[in-house]
Amino acid sequence: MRTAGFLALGVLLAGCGPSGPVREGPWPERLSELAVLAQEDGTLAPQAGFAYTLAHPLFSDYAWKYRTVSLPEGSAASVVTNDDTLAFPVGTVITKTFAFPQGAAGAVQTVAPEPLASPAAAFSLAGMRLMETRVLRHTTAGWEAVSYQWNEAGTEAFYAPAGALVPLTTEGGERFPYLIPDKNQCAGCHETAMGTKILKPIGPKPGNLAAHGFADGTSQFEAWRAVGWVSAPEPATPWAAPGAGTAAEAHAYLDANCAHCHSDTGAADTAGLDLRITASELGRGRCKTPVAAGRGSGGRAYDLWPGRPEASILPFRLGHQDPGIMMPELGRSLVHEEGVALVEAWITAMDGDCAAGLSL
Amino acid sequence: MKAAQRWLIGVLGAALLSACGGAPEPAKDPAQALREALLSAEPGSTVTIPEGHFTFDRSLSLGVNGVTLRGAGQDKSILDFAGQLAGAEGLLVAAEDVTLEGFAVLDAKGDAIKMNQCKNLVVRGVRTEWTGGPKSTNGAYGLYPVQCDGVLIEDSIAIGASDAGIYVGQSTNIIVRRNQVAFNVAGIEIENSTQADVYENNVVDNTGGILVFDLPDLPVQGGRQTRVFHNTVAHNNTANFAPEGNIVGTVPAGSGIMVNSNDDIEIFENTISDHQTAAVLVVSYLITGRPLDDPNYDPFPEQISIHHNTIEKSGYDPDSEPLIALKTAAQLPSLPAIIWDGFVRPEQEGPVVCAHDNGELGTVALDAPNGFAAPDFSGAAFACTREALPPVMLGGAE
Repeated sequence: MRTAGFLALGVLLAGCGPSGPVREGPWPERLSELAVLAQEDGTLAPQAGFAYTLAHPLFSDYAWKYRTVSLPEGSAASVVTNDDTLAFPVGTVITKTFAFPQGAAGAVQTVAPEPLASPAAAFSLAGMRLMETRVLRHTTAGWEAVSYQWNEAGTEAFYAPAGALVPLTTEGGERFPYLIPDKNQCAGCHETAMGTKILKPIGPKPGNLAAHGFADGTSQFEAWRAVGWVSAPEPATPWAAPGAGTAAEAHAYLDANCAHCHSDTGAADTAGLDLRITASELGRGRCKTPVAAGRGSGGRAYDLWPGRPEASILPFRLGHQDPGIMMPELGRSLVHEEGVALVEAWITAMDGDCAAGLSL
Repeated sequence: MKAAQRWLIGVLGAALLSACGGAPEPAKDPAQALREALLSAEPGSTVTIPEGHFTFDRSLSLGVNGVTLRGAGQDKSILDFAGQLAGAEGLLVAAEDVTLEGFAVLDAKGDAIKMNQCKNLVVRGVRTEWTGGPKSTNGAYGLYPVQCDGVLIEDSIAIGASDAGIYVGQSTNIIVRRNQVAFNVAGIEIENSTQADVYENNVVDNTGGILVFDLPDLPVQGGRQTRVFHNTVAHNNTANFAPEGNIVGTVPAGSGIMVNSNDDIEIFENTISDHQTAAVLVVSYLITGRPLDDPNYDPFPEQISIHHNTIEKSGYDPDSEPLIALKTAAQLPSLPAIIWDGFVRPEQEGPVVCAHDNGELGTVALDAPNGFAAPDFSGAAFACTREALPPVMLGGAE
């Protein structure tokens, strides 16, 4: 009798922590109940699936990001194009955990993240302040997106469909609001074809995966392909590696940070500016006058004025912190200094000129 | 198993299950409650905003089709974004069949209410305002539907936008009526849009009153067929406070109604009074001197009809260098009320702008393509009539 009772309890306990990711159904209140990330021994690790990184990540106030992906047993993602997000099978769960290295006196550090050692690598939480874990689930009804906000102790994250603004201070003393997006703001970026209500992941594009390896130098795309997580006969063509300082690197940076809206179908297609890696320089705004930029124009005549970053709107908006001016519109409060420098260097090196604008 | 033991297991199990449950609910302030109501709204439902003044530090958004968002009135349910830290607009609507009614959005850091790719949108009795007066640091647009099909904006108020108070862009089937629009750079702007009726609005103290523009380098072009009628357009003489670089930054202060590169426009039976530059200004994008790389773009305003307007006091202090030079050279106390820059296609035969029955204040064709060399005050360039345009039908809403 006693044994039966304990068995029954064991079943109930298992109900709290399923062995694999919860790929369908209502969002649980707690991240741990999704059973996709395991927190043990001061680390986060994939409870199922593997970790990955991107050569050109979205900038998010210098937060470090730990990404995982879990595909259902026996399934694979397929390549759409080298420059478009992989088509993941139904049942895929993708997570991205945002954390800051803690500085002195409650401040957060704004430093580059350490590289990931391998697809099985855990994320050390030593000295880290956990902010949120964003989750994308490919259910039978399509992709769903929401964020879980970590408690201050970093012991559990809770379902946060309404998002939050968390006040933080950098070690340099700059106070800034860190944005945990609400559900609609998730869709604001992930609904890459505006009006369709269809969400999809943004980061894992073959070119962006292939351009970055693990600490042992393995191309991530190749690692995925080798174990059958990606069904593709050909290796991917890597985007320009970070640090190259070339036009191609700037193009990759703009794709990763802007192209989910600035494409031919995205929320910013109203502006007629295309920042996908496949765009032409004309599409990227060469000699293009602003239309609905408002204060975002900064008194500058063109989105891109070759040779003249100081007269181009693009670096102005990337370098601004006012919500009515800055780009991207959401997801950062701080300026990505290295990103702005990259874009300015690209414009400086660009050949050609625009006509000086006149007025009526 | 005995009943007692079964009960014990049940209790323990329930305790364990509840440990899996949610965090304790924090007490909600009304602003947070509204945010969550918008996020969890069911299609076809109504979300109400109570009377009161609510402050927000980040954007609100609505992404569910068929929702009505209804406040207690544009002076009673106030959404205040003066302390906004994140988000490029106050309220963002990305859904179809949405009705916004009876509330105000104040002091948004970017646009007040943006409605992107909507269908059958109704905005009724909504106020967007920047409360510190006209400033270049105000947000760009008040009411801002873009790439929408079916737009009704009525009985609303738009004040203080550093671009346009009511801006309808890249849209079709539009009615803008009975609104109060003041102290914006552009009062009402219909841009790259097709089939719009703008009527019975009170448009005062903007830089330019009502603008109908077609601009290059946008995915939706070929704006045409707009009727502007029965509006009161008065003393839109506020100095242009648009941030530099924007196309509305080129609008001269004191422009009552302005057409830029749009076709099939009928402007009739408006009262247009006291404009220091012009009651009605018709120009081509070419006059901006900006380069044109867009092969799909038509920069020439054509089939423009301006008739039976009541026009008073116009052109007495033009805010435009070529117009000041013209006024001085012609030794006129005031320029004519209706001004056209004179850009036409090389193969053009006959007038492109018709003007008649607009009172005694006259017209001028500027000859801008030839450096303003031979301005024509005779009215010959405007001597034509056009058939009336059909009204816009919105499938019942009108």
